[in-house]
Amino acid sequence: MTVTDRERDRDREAAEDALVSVRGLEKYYESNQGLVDRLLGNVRRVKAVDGVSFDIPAGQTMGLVGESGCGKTTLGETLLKLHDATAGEIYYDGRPITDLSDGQFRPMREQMQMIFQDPHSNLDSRMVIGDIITEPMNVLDVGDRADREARAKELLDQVGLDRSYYDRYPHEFSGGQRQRVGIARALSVDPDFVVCDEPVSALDVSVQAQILELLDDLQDEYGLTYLFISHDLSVVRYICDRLAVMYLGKIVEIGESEDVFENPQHPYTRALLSAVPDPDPAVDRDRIFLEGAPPSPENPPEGCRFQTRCPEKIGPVCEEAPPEFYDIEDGHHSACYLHDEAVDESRSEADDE
Amino acid sequence: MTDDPPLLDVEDLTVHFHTEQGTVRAVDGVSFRVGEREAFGLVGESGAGKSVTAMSILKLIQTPPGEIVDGSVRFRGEDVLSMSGPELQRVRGNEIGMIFQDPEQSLNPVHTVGRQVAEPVRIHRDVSDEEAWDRAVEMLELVGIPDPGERATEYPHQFSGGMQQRAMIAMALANNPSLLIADEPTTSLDVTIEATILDLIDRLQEDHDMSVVLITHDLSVISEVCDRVGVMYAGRMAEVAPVERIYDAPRHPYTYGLVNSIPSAREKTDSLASIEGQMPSGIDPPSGCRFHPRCPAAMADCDRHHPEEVERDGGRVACHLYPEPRDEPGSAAEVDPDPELIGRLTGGDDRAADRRRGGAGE
Amino acid sequence: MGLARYVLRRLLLLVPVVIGATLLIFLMLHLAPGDPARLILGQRRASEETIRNIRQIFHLNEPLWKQYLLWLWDALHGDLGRSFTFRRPVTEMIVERYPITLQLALSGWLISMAVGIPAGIVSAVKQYTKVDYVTTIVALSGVSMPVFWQGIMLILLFSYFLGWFPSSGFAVDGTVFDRLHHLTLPAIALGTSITALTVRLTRSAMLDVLNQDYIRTARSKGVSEREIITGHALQNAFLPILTVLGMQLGLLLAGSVLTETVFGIGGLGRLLIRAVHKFDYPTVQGLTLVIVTVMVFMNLLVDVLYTFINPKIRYD
Repeated sequence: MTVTDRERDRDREAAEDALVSVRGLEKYYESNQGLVDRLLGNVRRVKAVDGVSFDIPAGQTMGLVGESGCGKTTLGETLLKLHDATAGEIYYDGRPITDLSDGQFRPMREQMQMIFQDPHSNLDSRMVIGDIITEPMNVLDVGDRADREARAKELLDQVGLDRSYYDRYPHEFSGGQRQRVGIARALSVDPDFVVCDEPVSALDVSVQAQILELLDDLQDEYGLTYLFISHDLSVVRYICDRLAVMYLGKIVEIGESEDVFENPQHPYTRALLSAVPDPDPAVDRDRIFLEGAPPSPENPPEGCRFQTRCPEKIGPVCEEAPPEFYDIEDGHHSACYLHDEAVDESRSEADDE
Repeated sequence: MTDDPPLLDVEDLTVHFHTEQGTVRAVDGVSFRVGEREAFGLVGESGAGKSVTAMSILKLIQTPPGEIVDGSVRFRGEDVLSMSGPELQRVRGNEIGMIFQDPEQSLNPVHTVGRQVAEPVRIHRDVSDEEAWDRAVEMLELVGIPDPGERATEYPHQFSGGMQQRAMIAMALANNPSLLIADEPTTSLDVTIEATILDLIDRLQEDHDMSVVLITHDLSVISEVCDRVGVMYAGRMAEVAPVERIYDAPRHPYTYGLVNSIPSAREKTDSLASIEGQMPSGIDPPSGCRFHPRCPAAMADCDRHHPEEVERDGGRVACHLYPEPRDEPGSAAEVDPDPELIGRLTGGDDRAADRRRGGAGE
Repeated sequence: MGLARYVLRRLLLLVPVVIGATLLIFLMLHLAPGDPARLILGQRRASEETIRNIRQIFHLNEPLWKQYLLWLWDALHGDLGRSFTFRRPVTEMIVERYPITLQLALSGWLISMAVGIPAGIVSAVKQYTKVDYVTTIVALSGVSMPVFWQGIMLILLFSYFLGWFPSSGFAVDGTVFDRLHHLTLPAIALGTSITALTVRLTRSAMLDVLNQDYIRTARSKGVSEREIITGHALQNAFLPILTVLGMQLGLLLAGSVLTETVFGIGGLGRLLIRAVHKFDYPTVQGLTLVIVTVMVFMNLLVDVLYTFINPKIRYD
């Protein structure tokens, strides 16, 4: 399948409309970096992110779901240039940032921030809350001392914490409160784009609901754009506008969140959605069970990454080349040969025989 | 009802932990019963005391710092808590099997999986090492490990997380126990793996006429497996009821909050009800009802007296909204709580109530 | 076969380590002030010609790198040069003294294991009881007691007052009994000096293991407390213990300077001290080679033993 020029133009337009755009992003890690291993040529490549493209429109929340080891956290960190991309391009507000040097990227750091998963380990226990919140402002040299303190106190207010917490230490606070501090810290430099990496996974459900509401409110107030990384599909459905499903370094399905949930197309998405436990005991549980465990990203299968576990595997076509995206409906794509009419026809012919 | 004692009868269980900061009242007078072939769930957030309760059933609390202060755990009428070492060892892994949250950490890294699954057989039955090993391979096959004869000779790190938990289940069930205690069995697993493990537990429970006590923070997991559920809060039992009742018509204000704060993956949730504040510390818990500082329906009595558990709508609930029926002539046995207070629990957004009305509006 | 390849790889790595260490010592000795030729001649007054001759014989006129290569080449052929002070081949002295150091080191090490490991286990299992406290106090006082002081006390008590053991020397050519008789006091002194560490290490390794989830699993299966320690905990706890025991033995095999001095034993340690004092660099250089090689081999041995104890470690 070739991409025509018109499609490429359309693609570029979409990228220009989006706040964050990613095209063919790859992030490979090398394991076994010892001297002897290098000499013996034993270096192994882990394809954590392997050719990923998507757009996040300004003011929206894009969900990124997948199971452990699928590369979703690496993707989020690479977006913020915490790692150097192996290949591909990241555009922020239409501007390519992949090749920017640290110095060139520095002014943009203000606009791109991150909220982490574990509220217990990501706050420096020797710093008071105020110093934690003002740190990004200090690093990026925003305002003077008094400004920063005033801003931090205002943020404490906004994330639902008392201003008097400014001089206290993280260990005095619960998980939910610490996550609020983490949010205040990320917002201190007035970013437009925030990567939220499993921000509620370590929290209890009642507290999780508080934090989700807070993220929602802050988005409305500041017009924030989120990339929301999570393994929890219920949380994702609540908070996201768009959704990308990742498996072993690749996005297998992407679309409006409700379209993906209501009309999942990729066999992996369907299995994933069917597996989510539901609090309603009366709900009809029509499970698709997957065989085996995901293969190692060091040695991913040929062709479609999911073919080794796919309950709907067509045949050799799945093992030959990784499938391209097929359009399902407006803005909803799935990377599976099931959607290829040619493949589908040849299969039904084979069935008829 | 027959006079037979229930399979498991936990009564007034009280467990303290002595720490440098003070005594943590982790579990404070918790009671529940589990019948034959019943799957009972214990749900609660961190600090609720549910894992401590589970460990206490097999007297696995580390002492010190832990101490089982009061109460009894009767298994087929026998008090486990008063048993001596050898007596306990006869029950553990034989009549009661247990699996844990993190299967990788729960398996001994230097023993083969087969040896570990065979161990309870070797201990509790008069069999040769070969027979114990054969039983282990048979169990591994039963829990769905492909090529079990070969895999039994492997070490835990050669298994994936899901396979490790299957091996744990094989180990816990090797002696056909009548009770399986599963403490957060799927919390560390991915969702597709979680589904297969829950399915396995569900199936084995039926096939082996076994009872299950499932401990989790996730009400959805309870709903997958359990018949009845106990909701714990800050070391106390807030409410016990059939799972459908808990989900459709919770009685305790904490249960309301819990049920309404869970987003759903099956339908779009527009807004979540959250419970303000957080779980109090077990060192200095609030007076009276432990939930009262966070309770939207708190009344004058709530900070003074701990509410007694009362029978209510096929379950039990400990909340001042549901006073004990008084033995006075003329007083109604059950008084429904003030609708206005119930309204406060939900802030007008009661998904449970919507469901109760059968989704009539849709 | 993974293990064989791993060992081969480690042996290859040994080459740069040994060269690096000997080169470092070589440079330190040669860059220090003083004319080696005069040192070799000692106090004697010598003519310029004698000095020239000496320079010639010991290659002192060659550039440093060539001197090192010459030394290395000879070392590979088992010739570590001649000692200036003892006027004997260094190889010969080391071969002669090594058995003494080896016997002392092994017996001290075995004493430390035999006492330290069981004490550590008991201390861990009975954590926060009197047994634990007593072991801890004894172990701590063992650490804080200098080995020379302890050696002198042993000599005072067992040889001066009680007369049970000889106070110094080593019966190199004696009967087995003779040798053991001489070895007892120094071995005890050496052993206790490292036992304290073994006890504390074993205790903390055991405590760590006993708090692991798989110990809880074992209990939940009905495994008895005794079998939990012997069957489940020990093998796991042995991993960190093994590392330190290996390092200890490596250090002891390099010679125990203080113990050998106090008890007047002519092992490697004393040889090293004397050679350093006299600036006898062929001897120092030769001893360095031996010490580094022994240490590297001990490390390798420990790592290979690891594979047998811990199946998680695969050398592929």
